[in-house]
Amino acid sequence: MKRFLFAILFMFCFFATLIAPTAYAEENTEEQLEESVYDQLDELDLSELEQFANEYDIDGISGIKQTIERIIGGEFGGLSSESVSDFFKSVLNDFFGFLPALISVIVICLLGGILRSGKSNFLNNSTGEVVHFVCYIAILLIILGYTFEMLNKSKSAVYGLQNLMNISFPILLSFISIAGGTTTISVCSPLMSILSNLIIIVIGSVIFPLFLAVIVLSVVGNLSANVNLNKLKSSVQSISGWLLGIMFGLFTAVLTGYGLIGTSIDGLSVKAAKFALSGYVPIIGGYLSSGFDVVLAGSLLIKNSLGAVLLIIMFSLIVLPALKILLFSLALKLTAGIVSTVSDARETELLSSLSSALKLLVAVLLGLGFLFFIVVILVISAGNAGVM
Amino acid sequence: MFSAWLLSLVGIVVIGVLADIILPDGEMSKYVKGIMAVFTVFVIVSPLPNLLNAGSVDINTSVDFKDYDYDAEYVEYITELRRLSYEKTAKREIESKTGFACEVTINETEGVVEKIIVDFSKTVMFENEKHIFIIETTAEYLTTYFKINSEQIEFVWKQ
Repeated sequence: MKRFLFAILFMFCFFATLIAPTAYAEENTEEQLEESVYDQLDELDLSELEQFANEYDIDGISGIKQTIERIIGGEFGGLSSESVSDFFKSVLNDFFGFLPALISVIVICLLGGILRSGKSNFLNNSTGEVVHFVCYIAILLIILGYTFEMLNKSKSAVYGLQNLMNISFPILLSFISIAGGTTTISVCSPLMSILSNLIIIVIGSVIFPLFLAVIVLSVVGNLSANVNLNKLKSSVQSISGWLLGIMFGLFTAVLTGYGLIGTSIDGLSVKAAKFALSGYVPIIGGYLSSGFDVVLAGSLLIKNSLGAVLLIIMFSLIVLPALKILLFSLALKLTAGIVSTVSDARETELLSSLSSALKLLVAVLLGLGFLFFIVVILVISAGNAGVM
Repeated sequence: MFSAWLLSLVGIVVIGVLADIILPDGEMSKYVKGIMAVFTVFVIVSPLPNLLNAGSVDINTSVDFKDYDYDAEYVEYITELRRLSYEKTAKREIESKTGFACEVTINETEGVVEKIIVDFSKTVMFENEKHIFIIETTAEYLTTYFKINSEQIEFVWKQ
Protein backbone atom coordinates (compact mmCIF):
# COMPACT_ATOMS: atom_id res chain seq x y z
CA MET A 1 0.00 0.00 0.00
CA LYS A 2 2.84 2.35 0.93
CA ARG A 3 4.60 1.61 -2.34
CA PHE A 4 1.37 2.26 -4.23
CA LEU A 5 0.85 5.62 -2.52
CA PHE A 6 4.50 6.56 -3.12
CA ALA A 7 4.08 5.66 -6.82
CA ILE A 8 0.97 7.87 -7.09
CA LEU A 9 2.76 10.75 -5.33
CA PHE A 10 5.77 10.34 -7.62
CA MET A 11 3.54 10.34 -10.73
CA PHE A 12 1.72 13.43 -9.47
CA CYS A 13 4.97 15.29 -8.85
CA PHE A 14 6.33 14.24 -12.24
CA PHE A 15 3.26 15.45 -14.18
CA ALA A 16 3.04 18.59 -12.07
CA THR A 17 6.65 19.40 -13.02
CA LEU A 18 5.81 18.88 -16.69
CA ILE A 19 2.62 20.95 -16.62
CA ALA A 20 3.97 23.82 -14.48
CA PRO A 21 6.12 25.58 -17.11
CA THR A 22 3.30 25.36 -19.67
CA ALA A 23 0.79 26.87 -17.27
CA TYR A 24 3.34 29.50 -16.29
CA ALA A 25 3.98 30.39 -19.93
CA GLU A 26 0.29 30.83 -20.56
CA GLU A 27 -0.03 33.45 -17.85
CA ASN A 28 -2.10 36.19 -19.29
CA THR A 29 -0.32 39.44 -20.19
CA GLU A 30 -3.31 41.32 -18.80
CA GLU A 31 -2.89 39.60 -15.44
CA GLN A 32 0.82 40.40 -15.48
CA LEU A 33 0.00 44.02 -16.18
CA GLU A 34 -2.56 44.12 -13.38
CA GLU A 35 -0.08 42.52 -11.00
CA SER A 36 2.61 44.98 -12.05
CA VAL A 37 0.26 47.95 -11.53
CA TYR A 38 -0.62 46.76 -8.01
CA ASP A 39 3.06 46.16 -7.16
CA GLN A 40 4.04 49.64 -8.35
CA LEU A 41 1.08 51.32 -6.64
CA ASP A 42 1.88 49.59 -3.34
CA GLU A 43 5.41 50.94 -3.42
CA LEU A 44 4.38 54.46 -4.52
CA ASP A 45 4.22 56.92 -1.61
CA LEU A 46 1.04 58.96 -2.07
CA SER A 47 0.44 59.68 1.63
CA GLU A 48 1.01 63.44 1.26
CA LEU A 49 -1.39 63.62 -1.68
CA GLU A 50 -3.99 61.60 0.28
CA GLN A 51 -3.59 64.01 3.20
CA PHE A 52 -3.97 66.97 0.84
CA ALA A 53 -7.17 65.55 -0.73
CA ASN A 54 -8.61 64.92 2.76
CA GLU A 55 -7.63 68.40 3.95
CA TYR A 56 -9.32 70.13 1.01
CA ASP A 57 -12.23 67.63 0.95
CA ILE A 58 -12.06 67.06 -2.81
CA ASP A 59 -15.34 65.74 -4.24
CA GLY A 60 -15.18 62.46 -6.17
CA ILE A 61 -11.75 61.49 -4.75
CA SER A 62 -12.09 58.86 -2.07
CA GLY A 63 -8.51 57.67 -1.60
CA ILE A 64 -5.95 58.53 -4.28
CA LYS A 65 -4.75 54.95 -4.80
CA GLN A 66 -8.31 53.63 -5.00
CA THR A 67 -9.22 56.32 -7.54
CA ILE A 68 -6.12 55.47 -9.63
CA GLU A 69 -7.10 51.78 -9.51
CA ARG A 70 -10.66 52.64 -10.54
CA ILE A 71 -9.42 54.77 -13.46
CA ILE A 72 -7.05 52.00 -14.65
CA GLY A 73 -9.80 49.40 -14.23
CA GLY A 74 -12.20 51.54 -16.26
CA GLU A 75 -14.61 51.82 -13.34
CA PHE A 76 -14.20 55.56 -12.88
CA GLY A 77 -16.97 57.22 -14.84
CA GLY A 78 -15.71 60.75 -14.28
CA LEU A 79 -17.73 63.08 -12.11
CA SER A 80 -21.00 61.62 -10.90
CA SER A 81 -24.28 63.46 -11.46
CA GLU A 82 -24.44 63.85 -7.68
CA SER A 83 -21.12 65.71 -7.49
CA VAL A 84 -22.06 67.89 -10.48
CA SER A 85 -25.39 68.78 -8.82
CA ASP A 86 -23.53 69.43 -5.51
CA PHE A 87 -21.17 71.73 -7.41
CA PHE A 88 -24.00 73.79 -8.89
CA LYS A 89 -25.87 73.77 -5.58
CA SER A 90 -22.80 75.20 -3.88
CA VAL A 91 -22.46 77.92 -6.55
CA LEU A 92 -26.16 78.82 -6.33
CA ASN A 93 -26.06 78.81 -2.51
CA ASP A 94 -23.22 81.31 -2.63
CA PHE A 95 -25.11 83.44 -5.12
CA PHE A 96 -28.24 83.42 -2.96
CA GLY A 97 -25.97 84.08 0.04
CA PHE A 98 -24.89 87.47 -1.24
CA LEU A 99 -28.24 88.32 -2.85
CA PRO A 100 -29.67 89.90 0.38
CA ALA A 101 -26.56 92.08 0.62
CA LEU A 102 -27.00 93.29 -2.94
CA ILE A 103 -30.70 93.98 -2.31
CA SER A 104 -29.65 96.03 0.74
CA VAL A 105 -27.27 98.01 -1.49
CA ILE A 106 -30.12 98.69 -3.93
CA VAL A 107 -32.38 99.84 -1.05
CA ILE A 108 -29.64 102.13 0.37
CA CYS A 109 -29.07 103.66 -3.05
CA LEU A 110 -32.81 104.14 -3.48
CA LEU A 111 -33.14 105.88 -0.10
CA GLY A 112 -30.08 108.01 -0.84
CA GLY A 113 -31.56 109.00 -4.20
CA ILE A 114 -34.88 110.00 -2.56
CA LEU A 115 -33.08 112.10 0.07
CA ARG A 116 -30.88 113.78 -2.54
CA SER A 117 -33.92 114.69 -4.61
CA GLY A 118 -34.96 116.97 -1.71
CA LYS A 119 -31.61 118.80 -1.89
CA SER A 120 -32.84 121.51 -4.22
CA ASN A 121 -35.90 122.15 -2.05
CA PHE A 122 -34.98 121.96 1.60
CA LEU A 123 -31.45 120.52 1.83
CA ASN A 124 -28.25 122.35 1.00
CA ASN A 125 -25.19 121.00 -0.87
CA SER A 126 -23.32 120.01 2.28
CA THR A 127 -26.28 118.00 3.53
CA GLY A 128 -26.41 116.28 0.13
CA GLU A 129 -22.73 115.39 0.55
CA VAL A 130 -23.45 114.02 4.02
CA VAL A 131 -26.24 111.86 2.59
CA HIS A 132 -23.84 110.57 -0.07
CA PHE A 133 -21.13 109.97 2.54
CA VAL A 134 -23.47 107.98 4.78
CA CYS A 135 -24.88 105.92 1.89
CA TYR A 136 -21.36 105.32 0.59
CA ILE A 137 -20.09 104.07 3.97
CA ALA A 138 -23.16 101.82 4.33
CA ILE A 139 -22.57 100.31 0.86
CA LEU A 140 -18.87 99.83 1.66
CA LEU A 141 -19.64 98.05 4.93
CA ILE A 142 -21.81 95.59 3.02
CA ILE A 143 -19.71 95.08 -0.09
CA LEU A 144 -16.13 95.15 1.25
CA GLY A 145 -16.71 92.13 3.51
CA TYR A 146 -17.66 90.03 0.49
CA THR A 147 -14.80 91.46 -1.59
CA PHE A 148 -12.21 90.48 1.04
CA GLU A 149 -13.88 87.07 1.34
CA MET A 150 -13.34 86.62 -2.42
CA LEU A 151 -9.69 87.71 -2.03
CA ASN A 152 -9.21 85.15 0.75
CA LYS A 153 -10.87 82.46 -1.37
CA SER A 154 -8.49 83.10 -4.24
CA LYS A 155 -5.47 83.28 -1.92
CA SER A 156 -6.45 79.95 -0.42
CA ALA A 157 -6.88 78.43 -3.91
CA VAL A 158 -3.53 79.78 -5.15
CA TYR A 159 -1.55 78.56 -2.12
CA GLY A 160 -3.49 75.27 -2.19
CA LEU A 161 -2.41 74.80 -5.80
CA GLN A 162 1.19 75.60 -4.84
CA ASN A 163 0.97 72.94 -2.15
CA LEU A 164 -0.44 70.48 -4.70
CA MET A 165 2.46 71.28 -7.05
CA ASN A 166 5.03 70.75 -4.30
CA ILE A 167 3.53 67.34 -3.53
CA SER A 168 2.81 66.10 -7.05
CA PHE A 169 5.73 67.35 -9.16
CA PRO A 170 8.40 64.98 -7.69
CA ILE A 171 6.02 62.02 -8.24
CA LEU A 172 5.36 63.07 -11.85
CA LEU A 173 9.11 63.52 -12.47
CA SER A 174 9.72 60.00 -11.15
CA PHE A 175 7.30 58.61 -13.75
CA ILE A 176 8.95 60.61 -16.55
CA SER A 177 12.30 59.23 -15.41
CA ILE A 178 10.93 55.66 -15.46
CA ALA A 179 9.61 56.20 -19.01
CA GLY A 180 13.10 57.31 -20.06
CA GLY A 181 12.20 60.98 -20.49
CA THR A 182 15.54 62.46 -19.51
CA THR A 183 15.19 65.46 -21.85
CA THR A 184 11.64 66.10 -20.64
CA ILE A 185 12.90 66.06 -17.04
CA SER A 186 15.66 68.54 -17.82
CA VAL A 187 13.03 70.81 -19.42
CA CYS A 188 10.15 70.23 -17.01
CA SER A 189 12.01 70.45 -13.71
CA PRO A 190 13.07 74.13 -13.99
CA LEU A 191 9.73 75.09 -15.54
CA MET A 192 7.88 73.41 -12.66
CA SER A 193 10.14 75.31 -10.28
CA ILE A 194 9.33 78.61 -12.03
CA LEU A 195 5.60 77.87 -11.94
CA SER A 196 5.37 76.93 -8.28
CA ASN A 197 7.90 79.49 -7.02
CA LEU A 198 8.35 82.55 -9.20
CA ILE A 199 4.84 82.84 -10.64
CA ILE A 200 3.11 82.20 -7.32
CA ILE A 201 5.50 84.57 -5.52
CA VAL A 202 4.71 87.28 -8.11
CA ILE A 203 0.98 86.61 -7.70
CA GLY A 204 1.21 86.65 -3.90
CA SER A 205 3.49 89.66 -3.52
CA VAL A 206 2.58 91.80 -6.54
CA ILE A 207 -0.79 90.90 -8.05
CA PHE A 208 -2.73 90.53 -4.79
CA PRO A 209 -1.36 93.84 -3.34
CA LEU A 210 -2.14 95.54 -6.67
CA PHE A 211 -5.68 94.14 -6.43
CA LEU A 212 -5.93 95.64 -2.93
CA ALA A 213 -4.62 98.93 -4.30
CA VAL A 214 -7.29 98.90 -7.02
CA ILE A 215 -9.97 98.30 -4.36
CA VAL A 216 -8.66 101.10 -2.13
CA LEU A 217 -8.33 103.53 -5.06
CA SER A 218 -11.87 102.66 -6.22
CA VAL A 219 -13.21 103.31 -2.73
CA VAL A 220 -11.22 106.49 -2.12
CA GLY A 221 -11.60 107.82 -5.65
CA ASN A 222 -15.38 107.78 -5.47
CA LEU A 223 -15.61 109.17 -1.96
CA SER A 224 -15.39 112.80 -3.01
CA ALA A 225 -16.19 114.62 -6.22
CA ASN A 226 -13.09 116.77 -5.67
CA VAL A 227 -10.60 113.90 -5.73
CA ASN A 228 -10.75 111.82 -8.87
CA LEU A 229 -8.50 108.76 -8.63
CA ASN A 230 -10.19 106.73 -11.35
CA LYS A 231 -7.35 107.19 -13.82
CA LEU A 232 -4.81 106.08 -11.24
CA LYS A 233 -6.99 103.08 -10.42
CA SER A 234 -7.30 102.21 -14.13
CA SER A 235 -3.54 102.40 -14.59
CA VAL A 236 -2.85 100.14 -11.57
CA GLN A 237 -5.47 97.70 -12.85
CA SER A 238 -3.96 97.83 -16.31
CA ILE A 239 -0.43 97.21 -14.95
CA SER A 240 -1.57 94.16 -13.00
CA GLY A 241 -3.47 92.82 -16.04
CA TRP A 242 -0.47 93.27 -18.32
CA LEU A 243 1.91 91.73 -15.79
CA LEU A 244 -0.34 88.72 -15.43
CA GLY A 245 -0.81 88.40 -19.19
CA ILE A 246 2.91 88.64 -19.99
CA MET A 247 3.84 86.20 -17.23
CA PHE A 248 1.26 83.58 -18.21
CA GLY A 249 1.82 84.10 -21.94
CA LEU A 250 5.59 83.72 -21.71
CA PHE A 251 5.38 80.70 -19.48
CA THR A 252 2.80 78.97 -21.70
CA ALA A 253 4.88 79.64 -24.82
CA VAL A 254 8.13 78.38 -23.25
CA LEU A 255 6.44 75.38 -21.64
CA THR A 256 4.64 74.34 -24.80
CA GLY A 257 7.66 74.85 -27.04
CA TYR A 258 10.32 73.22 -24.90
CA GLY A 259 7.91 70.62 -23.57
CA LEU A 260 6.90 69.41 -27.02
CA ILE A 261 10.53 69.35 -28.19
CA GLY A 262 11.63 67.44 -25.08
CA THR A 263 8.77 64.96 -25.39
CA SER A 264 9.52 64.30 -29.06
CA ILE A 265 13.25 63.80 -28.42
CA ASP A 266 12.49 61.37 -25.59
CA GLY A 267 9.85 59.64 -27.69
CA LEU A 268 12.36 59.09 -30.48
CA SER A 269 15.07 57.79 -28.14
CA VAL A 270 12.71 55.37 -26.38
CA LYS A 271 11.40 54.16 -29.74
CA ALA A 272 14.95 53.71 -31.02
CA ALA A 273 15.89 51.77 -27.88
CA LYS A 274 12.79 49.62 -28.19
CA PHE A 275 13.52 48.96 -31.85
CA ALA A 276 17.09 47.96 -31.03
CA LEU A 277 15.80 45.64 -28.36
CA SER A 278 13.05 43.76 -30.12
CA GLY A 279 12.93 44.86 -33.73
CA TYR A 280 14.10 41.63 -35.31
CA VAL A 281 13.03 39.03 -32.79
CA PRO A 282 11.03 36.35 -34.58
CA ILE A 283 8.31 35.88 -31.99
CA ILE A 284 4.82 34.73 -32.82
CA GLY A 285 2.31 37.49 -32.12
CA GLY A 286 4.94 39.72 -30.54
CA TYR A 287 4.27 38.07 -27.20
CA LEU A 288 7.76 38.58 -25.92
CA SER A 289 8.00 42.23 -26.84
CA SER A 290 4.71 42.95 -25.11
CA GLY A 291 5.78 40.84 -22.15
CA PHE A 292 8.96 42.85 -21.83
CA ASP A 293 7.08 46.12 -21.50
CA VAL A 294 4.62 45.03 -18.80
CA VAL A 295 6.31 47.00 -16.00
CA LEU A 296 6.75 50.09 -18.16
CA ALA A 297 3.15 49.85 -19.42
CA GLY A 298 1.93 49.57 -15.81
CA SER A 299 4.00 52.59 -14.86
CA LEU A 300 2.55 54.60 -17.75
CA LEU A 301 -0.98 53.61 -16.74
CA ILE A 302 -0.35 54.82 -13.18
CA LYS A 303 1.25 58.04 -14.43
CA ASN A 304 -1.66 58.87 -16.74
CA SER A 305 -4.27 58.02 -14.09
CA LEU A 306 -2.40 60.07 -11.49
CA GLY A 307 -2.41 62.95 -13.99
CA ALA A 308 -6.18 62.62 -14.33
CA VAL A 309 -6.57 62.61 -10.51
CA LEU A 310 -4.40 65.73 -10.25
CA LEU A 311 -6.53 67.50 -12.85
CA ILE A 312 -9.70 66.62 -10.90
CA ILE A 313 -8.12 68.01 -7.70
CA MET A 314 -7.00 71.16 -9.52
CA PHE A 315 -10.50 71.58 -10.97
CA SER A 316 -12.05 71.34 -7.49
CA LEU A 317 -9.50 73.77 -6.06
CA ILE A 318 -9.68 76.43 -8.75
CA VAL A 319 -12.93 76.33 -10.67
CA LEU A 320 -15.39 76.59 -7.77
CA PRO A 321 -13.83 79.74 -6.21
CA ALA A 322 -13.29 81.25 -9.67
CA LEU A 323 -16.95 80.70 -10.54
CA LYS A 324 -18.08 82.19 -7.21
CA ILE A 325 -15.92 85.29 -7.71
CA LEU A 326 -17.18 85.65 -11.28
CA LEU A 327 -20.81 85.39 -10.10
CA PHE A 328 -20.19 88.01 -7.40
CA SER A 329 -18.54 90.28 -9.96
CA LEU A 330 -21.48 89.91 -12.36
CA ALA A 331 -23.97 90.49 -9.54
CA LEU A 332 -22.13 93.70 -8.59
CA LYS A 333 -22.23 94.83 -12.22
CA LEU A 334 -25.95 94.08 -12.36
CA THR A 335 -26.53 96.01 -9.09
CA ALA A 336 -24.56 98.96 -10.51
CA GLY A 337 -26.79 98.86 -13.58
CA ILE A 338 -29.97 98.74 -11.49
CA VAL A 339 -29.04 101.60 -9.14
CA SER A 340 -27.53 103.83 -11.84
CA THR A 341 -30.93 105.49 -12.46
CA VAL A 342 -31.48 106.58 -8.85
CA SER A 343 -28.14 106.73 -7.10
CA ASP A 344 -25.20 109.14 -7.20
CA ALA A 345 -22.82 108.47 -10.12
CA ARG A 346 -19.97 107.84 -7.61
CA GLU A 347 -21.85 104.98 -5.94
CA THR A 348 -22.54 103.38 -9.31
CA GLU A 349 -18.89 103.86 -10.27
CA LEU A 350 -17.78 102.22 -7.00
CA LEU A 351 -19.87 99.09 -7.66
CA SER A 352 -18.72 98.97 -11.26
CA SER A 353 -15.04 99.41 -10.30
CA LEU A 354 -15.19 96.67 -7.66
CA SER A 355 -16.83 94.38 -10.20
CA SER A 356 -14.07 94.90 -12.77
CA ALA A 357 -11.34 94.59 -10.10
CA LEU A 358 -12.69 91.17 -9.11
CA LYS A 359 -12.10 89.95 -12.66
CA LEU A 360 -8.38 90.15 -11.88
CA LEU A 361 -8.81 87.43 -9.25
CA VAL A 362 -10.73 85.27 -11.74
CA ALA A 363 -7.92 85.76 -14.27
CA VAL A 364 -5.30 84.78 -11.66
CA LEU A 365 -7.15 81.57 -10.74
CA LEU A 366 -8.03 80.47 -14.26
CA GLY A 367 -4.56 81.37 -15.61
CA LEU A 368 -2.79 79.46 -12.87
CA GLY A 369 -5.13 76.49 -13.33
CA PHE A 370 -4.41 76.55 -17.06
CA LEU A 371 -0.63 76.51 -16.49
CA PHE A 372 -0.94 73.58 -14.09
CA PHE A 373 -3.16 71.83 -16.66
CA ILE A 374 -0.52 72.26 -19.39
CA VAL A 375 2.27 70.96 -17.12
CA VAL A 376 0.23 67.86 -16.18
CA ILE A 377 -0.79 67.22 -19.82
CA LEU A 378 2.87 67.52 -20.83
CA VAL A 379 3.87 64.97 -18.20
CA ILE A 380 1.01 62.65 -19.23
CA SER A 381 2.12 62.81 -22.87
CA ALA A 382 5.82 62.32 -21.96
CA GLY A 383 6.87 58.72 -22.46
CA ASN A 384 3.60 57.63 -24.07
CA ALA A 385 4.79 58.45 -27.57
CA GLY A 386 7.90 56.35 -27.20
CA VAL A 387 6.28 53.29 -25.73
CA MET A 388 2.96 53.12 -27.56
CA MET B 1 5.70 100.87 2.42
CA PHE B 2 2.85 100.03 0.07
CA SER B 3 0.19 99.78 2.78
CA ALA B 4 1.49 102.97 4.42
CA TRP B 5 1.10 104.76 1.09
CA LEU B 6 -2.45 103.46 0.65
CA LEU B 7 -3.37 104.42 4.22
CA SER B 8 -2.00 107.96 3.82
CA LEU B 9 -3.95 108.30 0.56
CA VAL B 10 -7.15 107.16 2.29
CA GLY B 11 -6.40 109.54 5.17
CA ILE B 12 -5.89 112.63 3.01
CA VAL B 13 -9.03 111.95 0.93
CA VAL B 14 -11.18 111.36 4.04
CA ILE B 15 -9.86 114.59 5.62
CA GLY B 16 -10.69 116.40 2.35
CA VAL B 17 -14.22 115.00 2.34
CA LEU B 18 -14.77 115.94 6.00
CA ALA B 19 -13.44 119.44 5.33
CA ASP B 20 -15.76 119.69 2.35
CA ILE B 21 -18.73 118.75 4.52
CA ILE B 22 -17.83 120.89 7.55
CA LEU B 23 -16.70 124.09 5.79
CA PRO B 24 -19.45 126.49 4.80
CA ASP B 25 -19.96 127.29 1.12
CA GLY B 26 -17.90 130.31 0.17
CA GLU B 27 -14.50 131.60 -0.96
CA MET B 28 -12.65 129.76 1.83
CA SER B 29 -14.02 126.40 0.70
CA LYS B 30 -12.45 126.80 -2.77
CA TYR B 31 -8.97 127.40 -1.30
CA VAL B 32 -9.29 124.46 1.09
CA LYS B 33 -10.31 122.18 -1.79
CA GLY B 34 -7.34 123.38 -3.81
CA ILE B 35 -4.90 122.78 -0.94
CA MET B 36 -6.35 119.32 -0.30
CA ALA B 37 -5.96 118.47 -4.01
CA VAL B 38 -2.28 119.51 -3.87
CA PHE B 39 -1.76 117.42 -0.72
CA THR B 40 -3.41 114.43 -2.44
CA VAL B 41 -1.02 114.72 -5.38
CA PHE B 42 1.92 114.89 -2.94
CA VAL B 43 0.72 111.74 -1.22
CA ILE B 44 0.26 109.93 -4.55
CA VAL B 45 3.78 110.76 -5.75
CA SER B 46 5.45 110.33 -2.34
CA PRO B 47 6.77 106.77 -3.03
CA LEU B 48 8.48 107.89 -6.26
CA PRO B 49 11.68 109.31 -4.65
CA ASN B 50 12.06 106.06 -2.70
CA LEU B 51 11.59 104.02 -5.87
CA LEU B 52 14.09 106.12 -7.80
CA ASN B 53 16.60 105.88 -5.01
CA ALA B 54 18.23 102.57 -5.85
CA GLY B 55 19.74 102.26 -2.38
CA SER B 56 16.41 101.84 -0.72
CA VAL B 57 15.18 99.15 -3.11
CA ASP B 58 16.67 95.80 -2.29
CA ILE B 59 16.94 94.30 -5.76
CA ASN B 60 19.20 91.52 -4.51
CA THR B 61 16.45 89.94 -2.46
CA SER B 62 16.92 86.27 -3.18
CA VAL B 63 13.91 84.07 -3.78
CA ASP B 64 14.22 80.68 -2.18
CA PHE B 65 13.48 78.42 -5.17
CA LYS B 66 12.29 74.92 -4.51
CA ASP B 67 13.91 72.55 -6.98
CA TYR B 68 12.08 69.39 -7.90
CA ASP B 69 13.75 66.06 -8.35
CA TYR B 70 12.41 62.58 -8.91
CA ASP B 71 12.07 60.00 -6.15
CA ALA B 72 15.29 58.02 -6.74
CA GLU B 73 14.20 55.19 -4.44
CA TYR B 74 10.98 54.59 -6.37
CA VAL B 75 12.72 54.80 -9.75
CA GLU B 76 15.29 52.26 -8.52
CA TYR B 77 12.47 49.96 -7.37
CA ILE B 78 10.77 50.13 -10.80
CA THR B 79 14.12 49.54 -12.57
CA GLU B 80 14.57 46.43 -10.43
CA LEU B 81 11.02 45.30 -11.29
CA ARG B 82 11.80 45.76 -14.97
CA ARG B 83 15.03 43.77 -14.64
CA LEU B 84 13.15 40.94 -12.95
CA SER B 85 10.51 41.06 -15.67
CA TYR B 86 13.24 40.84 -18.36
CA GLU B 87 14.81 37.87 -16.58
CA LYS B 88 11.44 36.16 -16.25
CA THR B 89 10.61 36.60 -19.93
CA ALA B 90 14.09 35.59 -21.10
CA LYS B 91 13.95 32.45 -18.94
CA ARG B 92 10.54 31.56 -20.38
CA GLU B 93 11.68 32.08 -23.96
CA ILE B 94 14.97 30.15 -23.55
CA GLU B 95 13.11 27.28 -21.88
CA SER B 96 10.56 27.17 -24.68
CA LYS B 97 13.25 27.32 -27.39
CA THR B 98 15.69 24.80 -25.89
CA GLY B 99 13.30 22.63 -23.90
CA PHE B 100 15.52 22.79 -20.81
CA ALA B 101 14.91 24.54 -17.52
CA CYS B 102 17.26 27.41 -16.73
CA GLU B 103 17.74 30.47 -14.55
CA VAL B 104 18.60 33.83 -16.14
CA THR B 105 20.39 36.62 -14.28
CA ILE B 106 20.89 40.00 -15.91
CA ASN B 107 23.73 42.16 -14.61
CA GLU B 108 23.17 45.76 -15.57
CA THR B 109 24.46 49.19 -14.64
CA GLU B 110 22.07 52.11 -15.02
CA GLY B 111 19.89 50.23 -17.48
CA VAL B 112 22.79 49.00 -19.67
CA VAL B 113 23.08 45.22 -19.83
CA GLU B 114 26.65 44.16 -19.01
CA LYS B 115 26.38 40.42 -18.63
CA ILE B 116 23.69 37.74 -18.81
CA ILE B 117 24.20 34.53 -16.88
CA VAL B 118 22.20 31.53 -18.08
CA ASP B 119 22.28 28.79 -15.49
CA PHE B 120 21.52 25.24 -16.73
CA SER B 121 22.99 23.61 -13.61
CA LYS B 122 19.60 22.26 -12.54
CA THR B 123 19.45 20.07 -15.63
CA VAL B 124 21.35 16.82 -16.07
CA MET B 125 23.82 18.41 -18.52
CA PHE B 126 27.41 18.53 -17.33
CA GLU B 127 30.03 21.13 -18.21
CA ASN B 128 32.31 18.72 -20.07
CA GLU B 129 29.52 17.75 -22.51
CA LYS B 130 28.87 19.59 -25.76
CA HIS B 131 25.60 21.56 -25.88
CA ILE B 132 26.01 23.27 -29.24
CA PHE B 133 22.28 23.53 -30.00
CA ILE B 134 21.44 25.02 -26.59
CA ILE B 135 24.37 27.45 -26.65
CA GLU B 136 23.66 28.63 -30.19
CA THR B 137 19.91 28.99 -29.70
CA THR B 138 20.30 30.85 -26.40
CA ALA B 139 23.10 33.08 -27.70
CA GLU B 140 21.19 33.92 -30.89
CA TYR B 141 18.13 34.90 -28.90
CA LEU B 142 19.98 36.93 -26.25
CA THR B 143 22.32 38.73 -28.67
CA THR B 144 19.42 39.68 -30.93
CA TYR B 145 17.12 40.79 -28.18
CA PHE B 146 19.50 42.56 -25.80
CA LYS B 147 21.94 43.74 -28.47
CA ILE B 148 24.92 42.27 -26.63
CA ASN B 149 27.96 40.30 -27.77
CA SER B 150 28.14 36.56 -27.27
CA GLU B 151 31.11 37.21 -24.92
CA GLN B 152 28.72 38.91 -22.56
CA ILE B 153 26.76 35.69 -22.12
CA GLU B 154 27.91 33.23 -19.46
CA PHE B 155 26.65 29.67 -19.30
CA VAL B 156 26.61 27.71 -16.05
CA TRP B 157 26.41 23.91 -16.21
CA LYS B 158 26.26 21.12 -13.69
CA GLN B 159 29.76 20.44 -12.32
